[in-house]
Amino acid sequence: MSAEIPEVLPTGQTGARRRGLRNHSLLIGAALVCLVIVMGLLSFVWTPHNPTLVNPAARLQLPSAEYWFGTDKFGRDVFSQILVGSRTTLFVGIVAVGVAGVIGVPLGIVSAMAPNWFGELVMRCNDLLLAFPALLLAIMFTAVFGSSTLVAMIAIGIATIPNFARLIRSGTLQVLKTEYILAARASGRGPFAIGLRHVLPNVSSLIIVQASVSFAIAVLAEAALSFLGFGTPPPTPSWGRMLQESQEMLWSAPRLALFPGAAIAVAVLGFNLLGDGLRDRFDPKLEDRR
Amino acid sequence: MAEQSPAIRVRDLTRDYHRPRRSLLRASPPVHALRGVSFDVAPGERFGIVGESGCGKSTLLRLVSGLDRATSGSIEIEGREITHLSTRRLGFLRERLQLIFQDPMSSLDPRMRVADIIAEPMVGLRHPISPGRVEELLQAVGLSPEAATRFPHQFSGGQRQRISIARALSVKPQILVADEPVSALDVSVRAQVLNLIADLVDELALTLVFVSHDLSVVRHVCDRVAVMNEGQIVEMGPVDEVYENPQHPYTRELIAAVPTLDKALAGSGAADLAAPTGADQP
Repeated sequence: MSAEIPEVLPTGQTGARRRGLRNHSLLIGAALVCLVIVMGLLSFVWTPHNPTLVNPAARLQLPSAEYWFGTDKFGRDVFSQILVGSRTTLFVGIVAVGVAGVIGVPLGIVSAMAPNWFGELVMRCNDLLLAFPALLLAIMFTAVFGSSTLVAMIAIGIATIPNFARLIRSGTLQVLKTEYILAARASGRGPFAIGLRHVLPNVSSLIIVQASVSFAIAVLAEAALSFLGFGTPPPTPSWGRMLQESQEMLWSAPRLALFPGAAIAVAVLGFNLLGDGLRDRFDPKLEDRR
Repeated sequence: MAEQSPAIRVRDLTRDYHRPRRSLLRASPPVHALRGVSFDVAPGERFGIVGESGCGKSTLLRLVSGLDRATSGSIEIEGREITHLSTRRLGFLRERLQLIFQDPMSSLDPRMRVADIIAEPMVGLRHPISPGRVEELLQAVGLSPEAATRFPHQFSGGQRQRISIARALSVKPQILVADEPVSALDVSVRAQVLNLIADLVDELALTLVFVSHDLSVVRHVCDRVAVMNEGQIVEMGPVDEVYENPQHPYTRELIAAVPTLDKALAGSGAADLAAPTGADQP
């Protein structure tokens, strides 16, 4: 009997440790995301210098008390650009996730509740869109509608719709199997009320997790597009374009690539960790019955 | 009893389910969940349906409550045929007949407050909700009024089943359909919930349709019982009669499976009782 006790203990410990780790990813993710949000808000009221002011007298300065992150080849303050650039990053994420969520979530719910053939049709269209690379779609859009952050991000959002629709469809199918849906039908609730009052609240955790992860992907996509010259046009500061402008001086002034690169990494890591943390938080298998 | 139209009248009811096809050339054979079921339930009667899991009990309940479509046959609720009605025209059925579900964990929406859960049939059927109605219902099922603002996960299985009962009673139905309402509960709570259902049925003069795989539970609550096996009713009659003098071999098996002290002491198994003996033959 006593020999069995040590065998039981370690599993309990790993369980606790794993939960602790997950809480950390949630905490760190939330902190990084907050940092980006605070930077964006701060840039509205204060930046050390005008981020777009070209000052030939102060070209390629090293980081100093006056220019915290130094200046670029036009003498613009890098720190101020990073601050204002976080606005673009947040804007990008909100637009892309907004487009994907507003279209993808109802599509997922409807395709699960509608007759089978309709659901299949929606899912096959989804597969079609899924097979299309998001960046290619964005480049196509900017070619047609002109290069702007908004256009690029709507394209990224459209490319993300299938992710939402598929996930929410499977979540909805699970919810529809439960007895409280039968109870709602027996209560005379129509399909619209069931979708809105029962399905949506019960898949909301899935939506939040997916939104967080999609946010990170959108931020990365904007950086990539701006780097390629299809994203945010100058002079609006964007981390991706800062990277692109720095590449010709990568050997002489690598810090110009380092700072926006680190900013992108922080934002993407933050949203990814937040998404992972939230997913574990909402996972019913791990949830303590409170 | 004969002059009155029955509360529920079911005739030759069948329901086939189609399985996903396994072969490209042939469709899979359909599953016959119900094969020609007929019975009447008189107003005010307590009607039990027993059988093992997978015998079609739950399918039958879903059809009777208008949650599923029959393949053929007819169902009349208080004299009105419901099998061909569209979902929108089933309002009267929802008013007259409400359900209690099997699984107290899954039958209450975890994201809704208890007050909203109980009020849902009133909202769905556009009943005016008078203030205090939810509290009244909570009291009727033996829960405190403070329960109204809480969420289902804060309650035990037995309490959740009480919430489920309160929801079913909120629109003052005439017929209460209970699908294994106590099979997921602890034995200690089972009797309390059963007694609550029995008391409420008495008090409100309801017709009860009670489904269970557990004969002793049905015997405790019902007047008349139908025994189902493989989608058919194999035996039907007053509870005591079916108990004392089972006619069908399957019924004997079921009764034999109920554990009693005598049987345990005598050491006789299910096989002994299921075997037809001279005394059991009519």
